[in-house]
Amino acid sequence: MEKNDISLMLISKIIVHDVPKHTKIDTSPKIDYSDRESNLTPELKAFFKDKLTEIISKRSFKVVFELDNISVVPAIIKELNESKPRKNIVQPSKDLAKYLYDIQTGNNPAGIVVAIEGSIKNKSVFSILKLERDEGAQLKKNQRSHFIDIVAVKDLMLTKKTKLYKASLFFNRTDFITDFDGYVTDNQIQPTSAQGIASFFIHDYLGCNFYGDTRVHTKQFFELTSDFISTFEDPIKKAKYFEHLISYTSMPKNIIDTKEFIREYLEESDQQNFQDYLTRNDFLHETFPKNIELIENHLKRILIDFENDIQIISKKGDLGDKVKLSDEGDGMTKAEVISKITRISS
Amino acid sequence: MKNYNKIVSDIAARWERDEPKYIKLETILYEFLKESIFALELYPTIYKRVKELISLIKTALKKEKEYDNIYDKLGLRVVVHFKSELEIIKKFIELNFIVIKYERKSDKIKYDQLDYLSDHFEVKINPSINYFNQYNEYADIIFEIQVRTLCQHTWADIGHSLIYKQDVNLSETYKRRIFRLISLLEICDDEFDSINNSIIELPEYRIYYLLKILEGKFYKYAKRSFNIEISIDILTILLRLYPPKDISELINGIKKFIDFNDERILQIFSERQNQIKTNIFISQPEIFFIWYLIDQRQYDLINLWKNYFDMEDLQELAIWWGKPINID
Repeated sequence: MEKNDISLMLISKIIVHDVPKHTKIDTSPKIDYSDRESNLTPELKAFFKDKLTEIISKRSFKVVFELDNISVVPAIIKELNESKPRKNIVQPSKDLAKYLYDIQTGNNPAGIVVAIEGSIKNKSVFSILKLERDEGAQLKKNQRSHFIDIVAVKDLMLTKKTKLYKASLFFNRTDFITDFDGYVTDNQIQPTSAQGIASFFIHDYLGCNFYGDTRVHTKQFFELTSDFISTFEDPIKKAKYFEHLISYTSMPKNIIDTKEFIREYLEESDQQNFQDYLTRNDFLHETFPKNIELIENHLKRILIDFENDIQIISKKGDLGDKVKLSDEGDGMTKAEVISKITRISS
Repeated sequence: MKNYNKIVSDIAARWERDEPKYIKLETILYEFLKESIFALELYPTIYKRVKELISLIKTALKKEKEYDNIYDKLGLRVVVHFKSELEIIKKFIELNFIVIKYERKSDKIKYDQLDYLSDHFEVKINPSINYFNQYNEYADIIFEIQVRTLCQHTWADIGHSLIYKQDVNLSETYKRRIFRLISLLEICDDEFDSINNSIIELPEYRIYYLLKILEGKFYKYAKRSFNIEISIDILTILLRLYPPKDISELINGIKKFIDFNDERILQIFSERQNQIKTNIFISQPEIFFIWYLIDQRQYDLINLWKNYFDMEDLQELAIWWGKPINID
């Protein structure tokens, strides 16, 4: 199951529930449940599939259901994806909305839970979106039929009164021959959160954890990027890129997004080559939680060796304006360090 | 005269009973030919007709044929652009129909004669072909498929009627003028084919070469025509990503890419029928090249695209493909 397979999704059912903001003490605002699924047109199906494709393919994490997590969500999703014929989604989706309501606190804004049943290559998939709407942007419920129409959700999204911050797509591991359970995007993950990357939505609500060893992924990214940089002949570019790598991996963010690194730190002429280099080396993680435990020592310094036995070491891992490198022709590079000398020793 | 009346009334009675069946079969066959021949990446014009009663009677009387032995009660005609496509269609017919009789008219005329040229097949549907296995009730009907090039069709349509279907007896001068034209049409046919094949082989015609491949695929999936000038403009820009010497490798790559993603492409074209009418890129054959680049060289494509086209268009195409681009 590759991320781009999401664009092959055939949406069969969508149901919407409105979860109000409330505090632990004041639970008077009640969930506005839909008692039936929305009517779907081909245009609506295409709209929500495109939104899912966009948000999940751009920046999502592979996740696995956490065995000891108390969330009720994994069991509900597994049952929905495993039952044949497929189970009616009305009650399970209400349970999903109810659980969200139960664990939310006064810090969590009002949200719209959109549950989507579908298939990819004839295999069941299930998606939960959580949309956050602006204050005052109301969802009208059809009082006669007792359901919130997905058209209203689409309209709110188009008028940008609702933001799609959180999306997930789950499937059966055996159906898709994978060793993870789904993809999750949470654009509200605080990149500098002291608690790390595990968010309320991913961990507390969906009952998931990140796939794989994030320490290993971070180390692989760092080493492969270093190797790629070493292939350049231009020493000035090499130094600049190396500094970028250290700067990117050291910044107080909990995520490594290879696309972001490529776009922000590499020259246009090198972007595709780097992406191809990662692919050739089977590094297919586009976005993953950062964990620098295994590369910590590398981030602390940059070392430049010269042919004439001179060495420049930056103890804080950046050169910045402190060392100015310039091309002198014939493979020679001039390094200028303008600072006060604090120590000369042998 | 008495006999004639009997023949005519017999034919009329039988045709009244049989005609609806032939009309249904005509639709079935037309759809099949259109779908399947487009899938071969050819874009011929396909004609169909069920004989009218009067025409049936005339055939029976003029050619002294029994009703059951008239096999062109239902006729289909496939008019291809180039001569080399005749062989492709011949193989296609042999594969998908039971051929009762095949005749290539050109095989029958001497080197110093000029005449009507066309391939005629008398066939039945082949129930072992998936598409036909639900139509067993038509399995015994023999019908005719004619296959010809556009030049052959011109002669058949105009020249043939000028010579043989005029009531007046034409003078030798007129006949000679017509025959001079027939010879030109035959030469045109060979020349068009030869030029078409040669152009495809020339490395400097890489845009044409690529477009030829892409247009075949486009007919297969989109089943519609496109604007060739727009194609050339877009391909000229996109091909800047490839040095001229790499064109063959690129085309092989695109062909494999399209075949590998057949299911995905079919789904996109089926789901995006509305956008096909309005989105300039998906209504053009170069869409496959764009998707290929989104898949294989996304960064190079973005850096090129932003100088010439709207990034939102690319984002939309990328989402449909399942690989959205990061442009924010």
